[in-house]
Amino acid sequence: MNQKFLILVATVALFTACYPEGATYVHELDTAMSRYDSNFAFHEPQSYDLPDTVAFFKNGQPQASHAVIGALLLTEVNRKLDSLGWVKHPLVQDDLPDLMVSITVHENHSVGMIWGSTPGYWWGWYPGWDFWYPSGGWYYPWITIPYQIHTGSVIVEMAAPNQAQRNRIPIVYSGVLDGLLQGSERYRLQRLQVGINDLFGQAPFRGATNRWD
Amino acid sequence: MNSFVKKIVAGSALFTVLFAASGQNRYSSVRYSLAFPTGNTQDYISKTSFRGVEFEFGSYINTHWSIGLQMGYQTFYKEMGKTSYPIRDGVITGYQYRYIHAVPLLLQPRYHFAANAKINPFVGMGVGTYWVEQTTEMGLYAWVDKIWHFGLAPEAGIGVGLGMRSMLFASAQYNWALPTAHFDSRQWMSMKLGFTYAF
Repeated sequence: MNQKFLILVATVALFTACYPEGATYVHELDTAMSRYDSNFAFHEPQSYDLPDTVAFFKNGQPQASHAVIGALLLTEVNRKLDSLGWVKHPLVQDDLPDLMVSITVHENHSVGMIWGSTPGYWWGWYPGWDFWYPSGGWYYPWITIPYQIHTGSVIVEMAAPNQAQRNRIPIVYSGVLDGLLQGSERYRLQRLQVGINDLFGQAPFRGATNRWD
Repeated sequence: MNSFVKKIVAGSALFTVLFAASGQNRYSSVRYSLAFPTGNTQDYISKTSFRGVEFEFGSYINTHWSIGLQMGYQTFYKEMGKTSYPIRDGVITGYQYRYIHAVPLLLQPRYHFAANAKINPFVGMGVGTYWVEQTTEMGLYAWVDKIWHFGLAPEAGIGVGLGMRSMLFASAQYNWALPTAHFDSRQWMSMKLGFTYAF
């Protein structure tokens, strides 16, 4: 009887030990993804506009800004573009920058982002450009699809107004940071900083990555 | 599970049960299995697997031949660290974890060179199926493939008698899960150690 019991215990222990653990810490579940127009010359410094506001959304609805997170994201994205040699060029009606950059934060329990292959129109947020809103709006050569998951997402998008065709401005870059909404504010800020660094370390900026090393 | 695999599994089980029931020298065996990935498995996960277990139930047909139904479970795992991988028109960066869970279900005939001796070397050739689940986790995403393979598993080993009914079992077996229409082959070398009990 004892022998059978020991065999049973050993068998259960063996099977229990068979499944490895995977990620241990929350930051190990963070991902940085970028998708871009490979024909756009990201590696050649150009002019850009970045509004001094980060838009916050919760469950798809506008949300009050989080000053600390917004400031960190603006500072980091500005710093990365500046270090690449890009020149900040405020949005002016007859002198558009090469890139219009937007940052949005989806602090939510329901929205993540995944790219599909179907072209579509931008869901739309960019302050201060009402004076020149082409009837075609911005469009994606791919489509960004929200999905249900308990995460937060930071989305950095870049549109090229000078490449507008038939009043449609192409989005040439989408960067998405995804992660779990867990941990202290300090931990989250560290993760966001690492995430922005990861995004700009990826192609299409890879040609300039060494300047940061 | 497709119909071909179902037939293999059902046929193997039936064959083994019939042999085991009719034989005078039935045996059961439990073994620990350590596995070294090779080929495509090594390309995906290079790390040695220390997570493996195996059971077998069978019968001696005569002095030299035995046949058994062998069921196993082997897990390969590797943490890839933080790395960037290309996706279509883009890149994804994050911590990646790779898993292969493999369940061999094999009909296992063996030839025993000295069945009645204390030291009993043998060779065998397992034939049957491998259920393989391959998972790549990255952040909150996971890519999972679940595949049934047909497979072959040549084996060589030794049995050491410990008494009238029990035997120490040690063997090396090359597991070759053949390619399917949509998935490459998977291979690994198992080193097994366990006990066999005759009844």
